[in-house]
This record gives sequence, structure tokens and C-alpha cells, in this order.
Amino acid sequence: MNPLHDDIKKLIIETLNLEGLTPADIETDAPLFNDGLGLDSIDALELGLALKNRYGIVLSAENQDTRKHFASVSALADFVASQQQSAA
Amino acid sequence: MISPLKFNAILDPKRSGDIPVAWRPDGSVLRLEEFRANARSLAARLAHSRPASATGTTRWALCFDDASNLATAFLAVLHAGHHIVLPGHTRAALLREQYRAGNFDAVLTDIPLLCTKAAPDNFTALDITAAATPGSTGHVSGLSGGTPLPPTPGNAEEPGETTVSFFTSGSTGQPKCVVKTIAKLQTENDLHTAHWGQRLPATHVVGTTAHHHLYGLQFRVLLPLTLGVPFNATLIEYHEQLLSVPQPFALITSPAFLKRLDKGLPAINQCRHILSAGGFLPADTALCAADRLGIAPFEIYGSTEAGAIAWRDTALERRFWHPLPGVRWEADSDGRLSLRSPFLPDEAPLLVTDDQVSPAPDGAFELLGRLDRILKIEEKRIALPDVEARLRALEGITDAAVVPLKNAAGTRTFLGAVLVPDEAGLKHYAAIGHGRFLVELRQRLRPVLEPVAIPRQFKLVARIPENTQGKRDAAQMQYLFAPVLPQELLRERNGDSITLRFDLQPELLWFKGHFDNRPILPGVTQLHWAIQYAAEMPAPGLLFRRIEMIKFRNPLCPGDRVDLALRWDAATSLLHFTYSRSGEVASSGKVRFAPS
Repeated sequence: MNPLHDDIKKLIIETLNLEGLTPADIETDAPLFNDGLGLDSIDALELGLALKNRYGIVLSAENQDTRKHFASVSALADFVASQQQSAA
Repeated sequence: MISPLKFNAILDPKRSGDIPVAWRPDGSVLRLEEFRANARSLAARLAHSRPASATGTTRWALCFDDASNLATAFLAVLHAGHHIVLPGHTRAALLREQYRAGNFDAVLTDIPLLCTKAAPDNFTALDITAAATPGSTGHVSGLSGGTPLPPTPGNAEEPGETTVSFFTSGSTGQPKCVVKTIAKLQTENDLHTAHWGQRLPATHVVGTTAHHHLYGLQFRVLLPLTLGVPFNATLIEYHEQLLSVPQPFALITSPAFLKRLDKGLPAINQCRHILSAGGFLPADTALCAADRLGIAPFEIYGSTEAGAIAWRDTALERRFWHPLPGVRWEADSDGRLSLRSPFLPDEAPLLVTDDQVSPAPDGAFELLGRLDRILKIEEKRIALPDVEARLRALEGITDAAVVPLKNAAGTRTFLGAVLVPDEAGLKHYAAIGHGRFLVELRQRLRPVLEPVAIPRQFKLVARIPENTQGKRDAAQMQYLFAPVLPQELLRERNGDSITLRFDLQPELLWFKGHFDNRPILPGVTQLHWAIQYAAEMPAPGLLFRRIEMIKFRNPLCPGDRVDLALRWDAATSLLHFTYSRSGEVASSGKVRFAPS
């Protein structure tokens, strides 16, 4: 199991006040918005801020890129990992 | 003084085809020539389509992702002499409900997903971006491009009967329809042009608010169209995107976006104007926006029914609102606001609102709050009765109530649901667990509710808590959601020690009833937390046996920032804990563990 996946799931649960949810309840590859967890655009903003605070990532000015990175927990983890690598 | 264009003159062939109308996400610019051709050809298709009603007109629901497509459809329907409906969203399931309720006749869209196969009880949708395929689109048949643009019914002074219907959530929980004539929308647009127009020329209009409500439609689409200023076809979703929009620009936004500006991003100096509407903009948010974007936001107070009512410049004014020209207001003895404005229907020129105000100097007023059971969450009007009805309609649920809750920082409002399950619902809950049940609940509500209206937390109960008068008890329900753990700021483990820092949020369950006048954190709670947070240190199989020593020196109160130090001594099987506040010990103790 990828510990980053678990970390991001915990961050999502905490940031978005989804009380009673455990990391196991969030599917790593399921969409975060729309069908999956049903998160909204304000969640996207909050999550963006939380991720920037936690991991120091930089979001792209390109709407399409950001949507891709926020598609699922695994996509987010890949994005965070790639930024941490390029920063290192 | 800017003389505004009338809506029906936007497509005038005498205007230069080079005028930019909108720019698309790929950076390309839609110019008037192409825009005019698109709107003309669509208008011709619509004018020749079989009308849905005996009166010869069709009520078209406009469901668009792209604001330039919405603008095309808006003008095409206007020129074809039909009616415009803005359902307020683009969700298929909710559209079907509205269609069955007779809210519209057919859909114009740029979302292929909405163009499902036409069934007798389903709406017909025409994708205006797809090539016309005659015969495949139900009502819209025998379409062809190139037909001359039909005149709009009437002239500028009397623009005819075209109406625009908006949907908002009404106080009964049913979506409420607000019908405006084009003439009234034109009057309001003219006023906005005069009032705000000077700030907009030579800019680009950038929006963060959806265009299927009145505010977004007026300011992101209609105002730029009549001023000849280009707007962005797609919504700005993140602060980062503002760094790459064409400069200079004007921002049409709302508190939901401004509250979440990222202080870490470089300041922007090419923003010429910020308009915020939909909800109250807190003072610190306004200041932060002025700092990050280089200009203080203007706020508009209004509603779908009334249109814009009043405004204020956050650089000058924090408390009072100034009515827009032509708007007259009064307050009754409860402070309930009533309005007369040129934007209201001629047959109903007085609007009694649910807002409470108090008079201020120079004809201004102060807004005090709302008087009913509609909640504003992130500028969306959420009718709690509607959310409850949707929950009750779910399989496995027999009764439901919702209450507003806040996050620990108090910065965000969301809904908590109190649910009464039936036998099958309870079995299902036991089988899949709390977390999956919540995910399922959210998925089932998604097709029919605004995202911000979907509950984030829930509790199952045998019956909805009521007060002694048999009325639902919101305070008691909120109690069900009270947090049981503090707001953690820091947690570090170092071998056999754990240090924690947390804030005691006043909402903590343990403060309730534990001395009404002076709440303090009970000793048993401190003991319980110490054991809970230390749980990972003792070897498996070791359990709490007894308290060896415990000493309370100073009380811990709501709002306190607390440090908890835990030390596990494996040799003696003792857990040592110390709670302290600003370096001063509040309590300490020793707890013995033993094999079960």
C-alpha cells in the first residue's frame, strides 16, 4: 500500500468534514468529484489549499491539468510525488 | 456616458465583425462575425422548428458549459421569438423532473450527455455545437443555416413578449420560478451599464460564478455583450488561473472564491474591477482580495426576484448598503425589507423580502439577516425542507431532518442529516458500515441536489428529536454532531513518548452541561483522551487497569490551546500523562496497564 494514498485520503476526510469516513472507504482510483465522493467546486478549492499547505505543491494555471491531477486519490498522489521529486 | 446596446442590436450586421466576443480556454478569440453567424443560423433553425405550444412558441431550457454558447443560444431564442428558461443547473435527473413539471419544452445545450435518446417522458435536447442532422432532434426539424435573421418581435422600446425564466430554491423547498420579460432585463442591464460600465471598457470580463443564474448571466455575459467587451467562455475555478487570463481584466466573482484566494501566489496588478455578489463578504476577505488583486471589491446585494438592489465599495464602506438608482425601499416594524424597483414586474411592483434590515444615514441600510428557513451556503440558497424531502424519498429512510453545522475553524457551513432508517436501511448500514453508507448517501443525492446541499455527516436515530411542543429541535440535533475529540494541531511520536498540541473548540460535546456558566473539560475526558492517544504504545494485549495517581491543578476551558505529553514506561507498565497550557501544568497522572 502506498502511504501517500492514505495520507491524502486522511487529508480529504479532515479537510472536507466527512466525519466517520475512513481511508478504506475512499477508493484510490475512483473519481473524487461527481460520481465518486460527490465533492464540489468549493471542495476543490479547499483541497487545493490543504494540499499546498501540506506538500508545498504548485498548481498549474491550466484548468485541464488541474482537473486531471484532482481526478482521483491516485492521480493526486502521482502529482504530489512528481512535484516532490522535481523539488528534491 | 456610455450608451448601451440593446440586446436585439448585438447581432446588428452594421457592427464590425472584428469585435471580440469571448475567448476560449485554448486562447482563441470568438469574434462578432463568427458569433453572429452562429446565432443567426441557430435562430433560423429555431424559427423554423415546430413550436411546442399552441401559441406558436417554445420554452427553451438553456444548459451550457460554455458561456459563449449560452450567449449564442440566448440571442438566437430572442430573435426566433421564443422563450428562455434557465433551469439553474445542468443535471439531467433534475432536468427530467423539471420537464415533467412543465417548466420547459425542450433543451438547448453544448453538453452531449444531456442529449440522450428522446423517450415519451423525457425532454428533447439539441446540441447546438453538433452538426444539424434533420429529423433526429424531435421538435427541431427541417433546420437549415443561412436563412435571414428574423427580426425580434417589437423594437427596443417594446421588445415583445420573450420572457426569461429563472429557477431558485423557494421557501417551500420546491424550485421557485421567477419570470422576467426581456424588457425588464434590458432596463436592468442599461442601469448596470451606466453604473459599472465605465470600469469595464478595454478590459476582459472573467467570471468565477456560473452563468445559469441571474448574476452570472447579467454580469458575465449580457453586460460584456452590450458593452462590446470580451468575456471568458469558461469558468475560472482556481486562483492560479487568474495569472494567465488576458490583461487587464474585470472579475465577476463571489465570496466563495474570494475567501479562498491563495496568499502564497504573486500579487496581480492588472485587475481593474471586482464585483462580488451572492452573499456577504467578510471584512478580512475584502482586505485580502484588495491586497492580492490590487483593487478593493465592490459588493452587490440582490436576489433573483428583485435583481440588484444595493451596492457598496468595500474600500470605503463596511456596514451600509446604498440602493441602486431607482430602487426604493422600506422596512416594517420587524425590519422586514420591502422594495420597489424598475426591475420588478409592472403588475407586481412591490417585493416583500425575507431579509431583515435597519435604516442608516443617507438612504442606506444595514443588512441584519434572513427571516426564514432558507440557508445560504457558499452563496447558494439551500431550502432545508427540500433537502429533507430528498432524504425521505431515499429507499431505507423513513424520516429525515437536516441541521447546519460548522467546521472546527468555523469558516465553512455544511449540512448534517439526522435519519430514521427502516429495517432494511438499518441492516444495510450494519452490513457496509458508517463510511460507505455516507458515500452511498452522497452518491444517491448527487443527481438531485446542489453539491453544497448534500450532507457531509449523518446520524441514525429511532426518531427525530422534538421539543416539548412537538416541534423539531434543531439545537438537540446539532448536539448529536458535537465533536468528541479536540482540534489536533500537532502529534509527534518519539519512541515511548508522544506529544500532542490541540485546541479545545467550544463545540466539544464535553463542554455541554458541564457547568452551564463556566464550562470546563471534565477530568474523566482528560483521562480518556490520554489513554486513547497513547493506545499505540503499550504492547498488544495490555489494557487499562487502574489509576495510580491523578492531580488537577488548573481547569481547561473552551478555546484553550493545550499540550499533552504522554510517556509509556514499559518496565513498570505505567502511562504518564501531563496536560499543560502556556507552559503551566493543568493536570497530570499515572495509569497502570495490565494483561487482560
